[in-house]
Amino acid sequence: MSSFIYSQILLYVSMGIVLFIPGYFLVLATFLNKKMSPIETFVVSFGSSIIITDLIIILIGKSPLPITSASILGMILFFSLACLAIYLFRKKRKNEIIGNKQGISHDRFPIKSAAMILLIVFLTIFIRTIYFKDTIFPTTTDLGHHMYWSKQIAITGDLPQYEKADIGQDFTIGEPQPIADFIIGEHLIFAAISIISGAEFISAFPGLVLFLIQIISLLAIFILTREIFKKAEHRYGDTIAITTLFLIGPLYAFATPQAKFVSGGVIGNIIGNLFIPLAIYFYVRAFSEKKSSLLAWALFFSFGLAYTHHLSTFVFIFIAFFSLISFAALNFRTVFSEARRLLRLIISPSVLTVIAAGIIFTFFVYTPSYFNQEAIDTAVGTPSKSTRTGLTLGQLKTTAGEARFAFAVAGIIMLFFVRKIGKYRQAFMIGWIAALALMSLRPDWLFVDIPSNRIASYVVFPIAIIAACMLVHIFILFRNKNENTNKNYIGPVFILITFFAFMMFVSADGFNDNANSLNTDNSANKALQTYAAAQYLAEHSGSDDIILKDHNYLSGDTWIKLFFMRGYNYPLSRGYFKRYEDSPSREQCTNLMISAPSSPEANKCFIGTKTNFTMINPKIDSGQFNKLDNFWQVYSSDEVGIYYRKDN
Amino acid sequence: MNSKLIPISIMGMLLASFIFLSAFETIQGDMSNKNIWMLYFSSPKDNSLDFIIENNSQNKIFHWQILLDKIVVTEGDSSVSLGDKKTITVPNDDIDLSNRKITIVVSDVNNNKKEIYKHF
Repeated sequence: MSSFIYSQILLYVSMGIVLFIPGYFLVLATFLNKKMSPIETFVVSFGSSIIITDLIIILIGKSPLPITSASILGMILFFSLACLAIYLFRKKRKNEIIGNKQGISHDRFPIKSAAMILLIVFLTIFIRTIYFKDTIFPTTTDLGHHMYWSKQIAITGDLPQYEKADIGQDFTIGEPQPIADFIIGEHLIFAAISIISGAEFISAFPGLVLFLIQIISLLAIFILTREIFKKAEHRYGDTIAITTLFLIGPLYAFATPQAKFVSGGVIGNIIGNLFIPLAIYFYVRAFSEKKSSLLAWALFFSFGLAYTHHLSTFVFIFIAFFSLISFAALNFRTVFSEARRLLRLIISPSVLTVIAAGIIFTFFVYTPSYFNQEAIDTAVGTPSKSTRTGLTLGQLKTTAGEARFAFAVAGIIMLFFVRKIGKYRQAFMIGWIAALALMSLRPDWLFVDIPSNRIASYVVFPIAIIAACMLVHIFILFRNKNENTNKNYIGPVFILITFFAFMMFVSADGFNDNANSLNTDNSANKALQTYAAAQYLAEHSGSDDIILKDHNYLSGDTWIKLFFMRGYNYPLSRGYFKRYEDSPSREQCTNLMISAPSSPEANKCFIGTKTNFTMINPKIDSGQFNKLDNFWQVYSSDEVGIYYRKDN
Repeated sequence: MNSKLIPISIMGMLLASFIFLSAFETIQGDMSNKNIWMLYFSSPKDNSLDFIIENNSQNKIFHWQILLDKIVVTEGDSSVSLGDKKTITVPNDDIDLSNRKITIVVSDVNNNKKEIYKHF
């Protein structure tokens, strides 16, 4: 019990150091806290801490220093103290202009609003906790892949080389080749927390970190919505923001990209869903308030996004492009004067510093692994697979949530006419939804060659904002009073009934979606057996032994590589059968060596790859091995059988 | 209302959730809760026939048999406590193993069986 408490304290202290401290001190140093409410400071500190920690560890990795708890803590401490010194120095300067005195006071929420926010957040966390209790034990495929790289950073003290060794046409395992699927920003914070706290990777901590990031990303949407609607709907800005929080928090809590992405370990998307709203938040504020310091923050988050997730970056580029187009279309008379204003914003010390730092970092310190022609060719072009040719409107409706979608459709039309929210806010909202809708529905028009359902997962947030805006506007209309009689145009009873009808529709649809997504299958039991077998093999094999495992029927199989740490593709893996059928040019050895181990082709594969251990599910795949004299069954549990091929 | 209370309250809620989930994960990751047991050779790559019963179930007594081809040559019972491993040594110096299959079959009190084998 005491070790549990001790490890818990260490974990949460480490999470605070990595995910809050450096960002908070950067916010202080730039006096951003004077321009934001505490909840905004909290969210921005969290988001910026992820980027700062990433940059700090990359710098350590590129220096002669190893990546250890001492170097990470030392650098975070140095950075934070430097920021604190800047803050104190600037504070002392009497002529320092601080705060947004002309702006709307962000300091206090009315008590009813604050209570409503806390109630919604409580429900959001509570419902997700119920879901995660069955999925928190690490078993999922993507998270296993990602944690391999994080563990590699933790045990080697160096930045990872993203490469893997595949089986070639001659049946041998080739030299490691670079892979563009992983981005360093997805792995560094997990490595840092593990290094500092000593937390095991096969534990709850990766899931908890993702859960935390997701909750903060919901708050980022909340502060963005509040920012978008604060000008036009001063009385109702908070109401729209709270309604948005309700539509993305407790409702549709498990569906993509919510809890399922957390339990699935879709790290890049989850962090992307934090950085995209934060970047938009700062762009909106920078253009509206004409403040270059805020534009610097917007660029900082855009830069951080590029170091974290390629798909989110790709989506964000389209959002920016469509926002630009919608701004130009809606403000074509003033577009050139606006361009001049933008130029004045850019030519400022803070913005130029961030741009210069970004360029230097990208080209001279660490270039993200997907910055190459091959990766770009994979994502850009005519859709190459049926899963990339776009969703139907019905599929998009399901992804967005039926009730949210219904209100959002009406809200999108309204968006074109709500000039009073401000031209920049209007342009960003239209650009955001238009980019994602087109990328999801008609990717061929934009030459986007990415799975359409992955892109559609990003549509949930703007749709929730627009739906919330529409929902609140309907009730504003209903509550409007006849100036002569001082009575509502519509009877209070009807307003009440309509309110409950709408809320029932939204809540029933959202909670029904939760119920359908609730996972009752706890895979921990099966995965534990996989990990026990992997531990056995790790203790009884060397780097000369080649292991093959099955991805189809072994639970938690992608985590097996963490027991060996002998390469990303170690052990070899029999993938989903469809992949072998869809790509005949793909190597077939990993399939044949399990499915037909006695075949001549499999024999060539065994000899070529030197595979001598095979891990399979005995209920499915033991028959073909038991018939063969050259295989020994050396391990047996309910879910895992290990066979040793003695000829190699 | 002082809006500093909002992030502080949210952190409190998250902390409570995290502690609950961590405790739950610790229970889920505890093999001794799973009522499973495993059988394996202590040396998978050489000719040793020593095997290990790793018990994470409520069973305590395990019956084991050693079969030469399909004939039982020796058998016995072993007591393995929950969370323990027991190595059973099989002397094979006196046995002519060439072209033979040695199978280890272990069953628990519910007659759940597992087997491992080596061909020589």
